[in-house]
Amino acid sequence: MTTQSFRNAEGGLIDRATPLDFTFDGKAFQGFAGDTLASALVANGVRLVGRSFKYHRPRGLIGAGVEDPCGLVRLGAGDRAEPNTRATLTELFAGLTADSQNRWPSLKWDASALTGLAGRLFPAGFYYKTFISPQVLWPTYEKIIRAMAGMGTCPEGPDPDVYDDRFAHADLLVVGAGPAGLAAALAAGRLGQRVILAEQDMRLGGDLLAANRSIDGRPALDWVADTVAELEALPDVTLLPRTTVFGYHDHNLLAAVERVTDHLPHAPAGLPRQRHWKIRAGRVVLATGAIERPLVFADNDRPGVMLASAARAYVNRWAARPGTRAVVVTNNDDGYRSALDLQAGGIEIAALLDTRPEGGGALAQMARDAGLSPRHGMAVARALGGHAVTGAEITALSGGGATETVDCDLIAVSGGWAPTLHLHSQARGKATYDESLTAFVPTDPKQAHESVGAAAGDLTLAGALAAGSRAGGDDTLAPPADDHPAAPIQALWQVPKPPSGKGKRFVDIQDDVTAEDVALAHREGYESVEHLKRYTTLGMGTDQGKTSNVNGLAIMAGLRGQTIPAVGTTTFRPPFTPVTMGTFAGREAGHHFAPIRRTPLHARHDALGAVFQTAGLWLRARYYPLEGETMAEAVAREASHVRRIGGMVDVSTLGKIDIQGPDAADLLNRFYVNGFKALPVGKCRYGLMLREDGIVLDDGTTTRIGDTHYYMTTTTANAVTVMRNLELYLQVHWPDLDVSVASVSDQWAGVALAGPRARDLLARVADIDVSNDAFPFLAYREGAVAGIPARLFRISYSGELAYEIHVPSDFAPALWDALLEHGADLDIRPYGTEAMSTLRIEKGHMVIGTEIDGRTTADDLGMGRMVSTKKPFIGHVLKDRPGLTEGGRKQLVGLVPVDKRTPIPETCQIVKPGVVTGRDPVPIEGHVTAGTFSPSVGHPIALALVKDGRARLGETLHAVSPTTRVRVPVTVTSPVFVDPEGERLHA
Amino acid sequence: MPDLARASARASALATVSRPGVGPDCGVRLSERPADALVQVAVPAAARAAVADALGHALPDPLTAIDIPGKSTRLLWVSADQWWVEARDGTAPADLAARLAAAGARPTDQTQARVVVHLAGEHTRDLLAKGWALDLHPRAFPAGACAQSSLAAVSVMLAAVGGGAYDLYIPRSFAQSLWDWLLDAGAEFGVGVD
Amino acid sequence: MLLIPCPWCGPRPQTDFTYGGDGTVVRPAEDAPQAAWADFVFVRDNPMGPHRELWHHSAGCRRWLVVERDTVTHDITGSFKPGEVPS
Ligand SMILES: [Zn+2]
Repeated sequence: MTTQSFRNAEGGLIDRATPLDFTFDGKAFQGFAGDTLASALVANGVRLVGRSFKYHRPRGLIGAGVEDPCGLVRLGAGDRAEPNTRATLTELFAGLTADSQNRWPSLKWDASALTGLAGRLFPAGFYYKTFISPQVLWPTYEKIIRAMAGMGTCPEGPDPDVYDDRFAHADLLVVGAGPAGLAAALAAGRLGQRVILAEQDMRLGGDLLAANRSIDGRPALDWVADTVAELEALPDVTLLPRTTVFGYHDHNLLAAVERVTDHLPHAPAGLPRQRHWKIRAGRVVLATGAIERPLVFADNDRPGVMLASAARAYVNRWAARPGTRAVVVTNNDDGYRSALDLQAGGIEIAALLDTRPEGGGALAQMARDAGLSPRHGMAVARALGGHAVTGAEITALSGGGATETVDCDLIAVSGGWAPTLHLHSQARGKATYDESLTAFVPTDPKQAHESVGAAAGDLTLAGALAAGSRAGGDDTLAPPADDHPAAPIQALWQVPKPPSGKGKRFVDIQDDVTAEDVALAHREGYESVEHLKRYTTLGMGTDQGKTSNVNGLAIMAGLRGQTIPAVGTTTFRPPFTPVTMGTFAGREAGHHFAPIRRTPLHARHDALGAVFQTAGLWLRARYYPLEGETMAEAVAREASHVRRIGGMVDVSTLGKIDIQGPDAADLLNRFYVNGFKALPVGKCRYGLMLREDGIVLDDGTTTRIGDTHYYMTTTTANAVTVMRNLELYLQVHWPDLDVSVASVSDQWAGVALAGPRARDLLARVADIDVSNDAFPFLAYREGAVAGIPARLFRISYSGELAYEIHVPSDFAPALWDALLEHGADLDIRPYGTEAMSTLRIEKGHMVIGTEIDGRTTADDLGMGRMVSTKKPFIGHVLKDRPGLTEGGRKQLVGLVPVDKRTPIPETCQIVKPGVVTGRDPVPIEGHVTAGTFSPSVGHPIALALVKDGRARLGETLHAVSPTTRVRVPVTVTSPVFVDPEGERLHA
Repeated sequence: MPDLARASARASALATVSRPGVGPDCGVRLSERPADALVQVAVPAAARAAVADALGHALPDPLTAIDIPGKSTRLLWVSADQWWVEARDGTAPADLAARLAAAGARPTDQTQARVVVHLAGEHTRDLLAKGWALDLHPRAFPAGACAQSSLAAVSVMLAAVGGGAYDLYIPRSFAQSLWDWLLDAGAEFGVGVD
Repeated sequence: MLLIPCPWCGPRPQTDFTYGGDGTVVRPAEDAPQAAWADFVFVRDNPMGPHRELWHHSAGCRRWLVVERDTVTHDITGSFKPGEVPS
């Protein structure tokens, strides 16, 4: 166990009474409750936390929060492991295990870095230049690159964690719980508004947690505590710590991720790991603060070079010293505050460099009063050391290039502050360059949002409190704070190379992009910021350039001789910080991936041992295997049984629509290609619907059950589409028709009873006369079946004597049981959708998706004669357009294997016998739409769409599938294999 | 003729679901409450008065549901010119439909198309908010409000019935799936079945 | 996710709606020539800016509506019942 030798004995927002054990790269450490992984590593003196992804250079912590580009670790182990987790945002818990990334064999001795291999690869545009040709080698290149570069490794197994979704609504959403955000939430909360305050940190307080500030003459943390306590007591205020708002979408919808149990060693039962919040807000206050910029100088990536604000955060909030002897370098007054805080935290200030030639405001005077000696016009030219900083080469910026060396183990840098305007930008707000701040500030919001405090470019505490209060709706609340008049910042975009010329000057430390890379991109013409980003990868990666963007484009502006506003900035896109994939999946995973529809007979099928198949959202009984039976055997048995004896099948998934009104017949007449006006009460009719473009949409039967009352059935697949179409035409195109439609798909269950003994069984259980004369083909009757009020239809899909019995859904199990019970001695058995498919293929009946495939016309399918020429209907004009009426269209035919043995797979294309398939395209005569073994004819059969197929009956063609090496000689036949005269269904 | 008693045996769509008991820490309680009759009715403007007469109450405004005082009947707005009439007094759907048809409306029996689940308990809103995008805050969705929207990707009717309780009208084919979802999503609050 | 105001139900999330295509095209008379039908089915403007679209409140009241949406900003400036769309 390593002791926390860099931890101060006093101070900080940590609980020294609660030590927490953790490991990093297998080594045991201890931190305290309140630590992040980063602060615990700092307290233990761990400097080296990772390797960079291109050059494999040693890297340490640069920041203390969301801005940190380097402290990326793999957290956890096994299937729960998560790569690229920020150490600075990872709350420490007992038993945490973390490992560094991008290193082999170890963090300290990385092979790629030692050989310099990585260093010689990967200049800007490397990928584009090196791997342009030959293209066939790309897979090889990619393997090498991925092995060497890339960021972290993913776990392989399924994610064992549960994720959650949550919709929320608020009058006001406040993003960020620093002084401005807390003030806004308090003001709005006191006014009775519904407020959500989201904060990515584990604690509310923002920058105040890491600063020695005072509000209203008291320690700022007291004000934070009071404010949080008051907010917690307000019933309509929701406080969400550990919650990152990562996306700002249309119509004020914001997406956030709450880390619910990530910080707990063991998640309580029922709690998700993370929760995806979708917050619709009336107004949004963006109190997202600002991020300090690093300075660009040679070897500014050495572990021990750190943002000054981060160094002071480690000292103030976590009582952890990121070094013992520091060089502080700043181009603005805030750097003095950092120097003072570091000194107060026990770190010796070896040098305090102000890059400005002179000046410094009140804080500079306070530094001098504290015994520090600021040196003006000076900067760090190069950091010294390898795995850790050992010193700084400092130089005067005014000229000469002479350097001196200062021994130190910490270089704290401040290049000024940049407002965190990502969410503002995601919401399409503009970013405008502010010279006095040397940063972009948010302007011109396009949705109902407002940026306040540091996020709006006001770096004063009093200003943040005032702006927050005002945005919350009450500007009288703002308390005074301890701000000091500041001298202006002076931009310093890069420190010249040291006289030795040594070292790399990193602009984007995560992506290993240097000032030289930016210059190279400029020389090669990639001048626009968007090109610069893609050519050099500047601003990409997991941090999306939070610390590098402005430096990078400022350097580009200098090279182009233009101003920063003229060069512009790249667009910010969601997510603000990386979000794990499971969070987006949320609850829609596993068996909740999509809702499941079950028919009222589901449990009956289950009890009979059915194998289910999905059909859209439905689960349908596919077949009922007997002991030891294959699917093919079961299907052939079931289908054969229907033809020889009789069977029953669940058809509850059909779309069912109740149609009422005086114009109902007219509506049907306009929807179907065939006439419906003359359909009498008590009769069913098969109908075919087209789309407006003349292509077949759907088929089904519609029954006139009353004078102005019809009952339509649609295919299972098109139930939703047909209902929506009926509503469209009634509401939009034909509002003059007086018709009401209602979906009754869930109200009615259906069982089809088919086969030679169907009537015998129905006669036993129905209270109506079922003789052929009394209940002929296409007749409709109402009656009781097994005492259940039922709708009976003499219709057939199988081609057998058949009935459909529809009953209210709750009665379906009773109907099913009665049919099985009273059909037992008749040997009526259930059959599944697969046998139903075999039966329909034998009859040449078409289905959605295979024959009705969005390309076929009524004539293609052999239904041309159904199409009325006497009335308009949907699609009646465009069905005659040239492309649909010329010769050479594929027509529905049957296929029989020449050898009467070989199955014809459904994936086959159809070619002429002599045609050899290979690399080159060949003339295609058609394709197989459905194939099965037909128990009725005793050999395999298929349906196919074949060019001019009806004129080619008897011709021999080949069904081929080059990918599966299938080639079956087939004879073209009629698509009706069984009972072409329809005698059986009329029996 | 087979036994006519079968007809009275309605099988629940939730016959095979898991039904954890109600414990002291249950934040949400579910119960299945089948209606005796649920009739969807399209009411032409000319028939509104007659339909109100037949029901003994005016048809409710958009987005509202009314429990008719003194009767076990609820009226719910469904769409432009469409309502549901839900009876829990033993009324047969066919009788209710006939009464509405006689008043000039177009009734469609949906009694067995919907599974009615009653949700109560202090975390009911928190549970619904995991899959329901509309605002359920009492100021936005007070007792007497009803709305159709998606709950966990299933189109349902939700009615606020007072006391922080809700009635959920689930399409029958989705009922088991959505029930399972309610149990899983509610695990953190504790879900029990009355 | 857009927030679409349904003229009957009020603002509802986009996920409760089904997009129904261009709301400006008018179904031709049944005896209109084939070219008019081809225009109605196949030919669409692709405006940058305000546009009128048909949407179906499929998970709600099941009414069709005409939504006026800016194709650049997604701002919705109007929502009408069919037949009550201002010209
Ligand atoms: Zn609506």
